[in-house]
Amino acid sequence: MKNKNLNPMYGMPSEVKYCTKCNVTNQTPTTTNEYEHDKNTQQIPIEFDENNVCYGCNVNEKKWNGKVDWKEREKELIELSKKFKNFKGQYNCIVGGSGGKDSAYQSHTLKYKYGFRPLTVTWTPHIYTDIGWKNFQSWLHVGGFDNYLFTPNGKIHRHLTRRSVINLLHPFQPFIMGQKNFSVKMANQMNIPLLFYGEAPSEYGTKLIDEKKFSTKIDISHPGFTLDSIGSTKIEDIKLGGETIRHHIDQGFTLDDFQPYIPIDINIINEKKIENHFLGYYLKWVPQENYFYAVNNTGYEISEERLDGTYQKYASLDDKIDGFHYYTSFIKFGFGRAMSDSTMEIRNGHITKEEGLGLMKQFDGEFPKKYEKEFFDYISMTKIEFIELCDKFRPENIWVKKPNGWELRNPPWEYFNK
Amino acid sequence: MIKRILSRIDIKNTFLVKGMHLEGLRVLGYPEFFAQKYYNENIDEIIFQDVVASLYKKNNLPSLIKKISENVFIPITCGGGIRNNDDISKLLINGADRVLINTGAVNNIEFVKDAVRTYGSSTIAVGIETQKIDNKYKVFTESGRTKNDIDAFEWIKKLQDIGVGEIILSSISKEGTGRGFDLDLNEKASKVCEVSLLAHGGAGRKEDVYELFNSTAVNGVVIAAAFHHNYFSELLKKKEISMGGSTSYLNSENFINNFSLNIKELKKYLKSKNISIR
Repeated sequence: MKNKNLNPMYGMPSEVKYCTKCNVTNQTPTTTNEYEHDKNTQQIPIEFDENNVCYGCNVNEKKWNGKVDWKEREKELIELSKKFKNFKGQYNCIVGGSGGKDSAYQSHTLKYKYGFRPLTVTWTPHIYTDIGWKNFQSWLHVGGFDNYLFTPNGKIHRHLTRRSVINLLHPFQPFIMGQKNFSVKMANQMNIPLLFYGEAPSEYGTKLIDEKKFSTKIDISHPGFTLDSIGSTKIEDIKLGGETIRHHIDQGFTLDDFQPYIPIDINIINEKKIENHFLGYYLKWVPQENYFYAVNNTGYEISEERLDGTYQKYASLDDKIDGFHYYTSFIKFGFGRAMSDSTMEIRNGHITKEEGLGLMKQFDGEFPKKYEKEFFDYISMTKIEFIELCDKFRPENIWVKKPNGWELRNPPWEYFNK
Repeated sequence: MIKRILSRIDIKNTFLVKGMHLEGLRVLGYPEFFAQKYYNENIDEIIFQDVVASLYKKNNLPSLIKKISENVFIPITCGGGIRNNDDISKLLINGADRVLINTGAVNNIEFVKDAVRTYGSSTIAVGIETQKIDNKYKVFTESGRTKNDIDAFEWIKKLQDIGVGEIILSSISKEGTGRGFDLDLNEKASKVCEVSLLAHGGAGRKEDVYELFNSTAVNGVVIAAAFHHNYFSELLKKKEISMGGSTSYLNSENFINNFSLNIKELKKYLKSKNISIR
């Protein structure tokens, strides 16, 4: 392969391949420890087995092929509910979420089917879409939940988003950090002993130490999968937006400005014995079924038309920045929104591999026009500056510049037709 | 005037699928079993809609219709991915009585004009998928994925001017929900529409259908999910269904089946309410 001499970036393999089953690219990074993430970070790519099948497919396969005894798993959930049934306090668990289809399904099932007493907590999107705000409200008013909504200081959040874009081409990083830690912090403050997350990240190809929950230890081979993202690093030395907090403070910010993004001390989690569990371990996680469930039970509504860069209109629609999260991932990894949606739907049997190829060919890389003005205002950048910046993040093993613009060197729909 | 009761069967590959708001691909079984059952239950007509044909630029209906029309002797309408007269001819040769065009009409109105001339008004129906955007009903294409800056009522006028024989009006916000029809939409449409108008989207209870006929002048009703829910457990052949749609619903033990309609009972009820039907 001539591609072998072309340099990859971000720790990805030099030869671009696609999963035989779901078409996902081998340039897909698994979950990263964002607190160490800077320009030089080498991320861990998704694993392909000897048959070129990705780890995500192999995990999902177990979900469907009868090897997981879902009746047994449900019993484990019922045991868990018994364990916390008599916990003294108004709430006995926390469900973090936006009121989208997944958190709606999670919280509603836990409360109304399994008898948990959830408090829902929400870390706000960068910029709410109208439909996102409506769904958030319906979740509470139609679905029936108590909720704390946290909105971080908008000036700081914009600053970090801009730095994440400039340094990492990663506009979603501040949201990821905030959201991941907010639930745990609320569990601590409200003295609630149990946290639920949604599907296990292994469904998208990240290897887990424990398939039931986030680890509370540092593990170098699973850097994104721990609640202890800091270890013994000094607070000033952890990174936000690809730069150390010390650096931000030198620019005139204060340590307090960044508290919402800084993880909770792991000793507190351990001392208080705060448990965290993936609901996807206990109940089979089927994204389209979550959609139907949310429409029926929490008044969930979908986008009026398909979302930029993809064919669907039912998922990931509450933040005006969503489209740019997927677009930047397409630039850095060749992993666009249609790839993200179609590979997930293929792994869950909703569509076929051939359909996925057609969808990526049609939609991947489409520029997220709908909210571009808000986004560029938000990060104080012009579209021209942004496009020029994107070009610096394009690995040469993925991209080639043609007279008409950038093209994927070896797109999946051609890769499989050779 | 006699009101028509139609069933709509959405197709993806070889499966009958059903979404909500024209989104989601929950597999409910095989279309041929449903078509046969509905025919036996005295449905007036059936519409087969390939819901991914425009998206994937292919059309799987002709072979399916050939098989079904051997045993089902009522008018059959077929839609999905129809872009030229060849597509129409293929469907008609294989047993369709009429075709339903949506995306193909919005993209190329000349094609519809030509089709009307070639095949006649009664063979050409146009589907309109619509929902309210900023208080105006806009026309959508590609199974509700793409918004067009076309007013639904203006579109109806234009279509009837060029000789389209029937309009099938789908409410995206009601579709698949069983929460009743968008009466405002159907009333306004029936005032504008001089050709036959069928209402689709929202049937959940028999009262919904009565209300539709009682308060609007639509010529017929198109029902999908409510009929499917009523019949699908007896038509289920779940072991054979594998890939290409969301099948976990079939394999779960507690179907979320919060609304359903039986064809014979619906007809009996409407007759008792003095609605003229077959």
